[in-house]
Amino acid sequence: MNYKEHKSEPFWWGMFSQGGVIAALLIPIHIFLGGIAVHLGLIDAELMSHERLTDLLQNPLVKLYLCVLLIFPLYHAAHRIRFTLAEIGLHSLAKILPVLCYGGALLGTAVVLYILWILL
Amino acid sequence: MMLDSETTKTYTRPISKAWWLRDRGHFNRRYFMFLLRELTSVFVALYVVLFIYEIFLLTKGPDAHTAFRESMSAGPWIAFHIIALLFALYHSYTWLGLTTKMQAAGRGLVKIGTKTLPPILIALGSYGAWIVATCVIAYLFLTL
Repeated sequence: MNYKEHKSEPFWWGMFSQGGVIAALLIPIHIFLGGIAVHLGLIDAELMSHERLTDLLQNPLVKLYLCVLLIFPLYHAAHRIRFTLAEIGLHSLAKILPVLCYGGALLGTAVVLYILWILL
Repeated sequence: MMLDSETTKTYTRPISKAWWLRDRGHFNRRYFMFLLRELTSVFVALYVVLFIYEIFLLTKGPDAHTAFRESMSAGPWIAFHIIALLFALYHSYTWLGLTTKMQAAGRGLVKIGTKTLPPILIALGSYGAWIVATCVIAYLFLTL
């Protein structure tokens, strides 16, 4: 390997780790509630209605929570996808993969902040 | 005879392209599970992007959001969420088990004074935190 580490590398590893913890603790229950339980009739459909959700989002603490929930796991995924793609054979893209993956996470961050704090 | 650094080379074993499926003619379960673990992040990312799209639709008014919710109740989307949930659970299981593994491997990461805590306590702490977080979020979501 003649891959030279960029000086930003510790930052991405740190975000990977943070995102890993947040995804591990919080993502499964969200998938279950909003993606499965509500459609199988296990919980009231009103809980995911436009009125109810916009109401919840009036609370700045809920916005802050969604920032944490949605932003950190993006960096976690970007980091893993970057290395996994190289490991399954895309070694030739080793230079461009970090740009694409972390760039995607940065773009996602901007989109989340824009929706939550400007549009909503 | 002196070995010249120009002529010595480190041997690197050739690796098949699909090493996670077949390595030297055999299926290697460890390699396969490693790839599955890495793949969990793809499902986490897909779910997060879908979630971001939903909050974007909230800004577009009730009709757009209700239509989105209705489309999510279709079979293929429920199937997607069930698969994503399985991958997310596998991520939680592997990620939260890491500290316990290192503790058990004799690294002794967590100590009180000079005493190294038994791995089972680390496991209780990590998986306990997961259960607590899950219950708190479910409770707030159902009652707020």
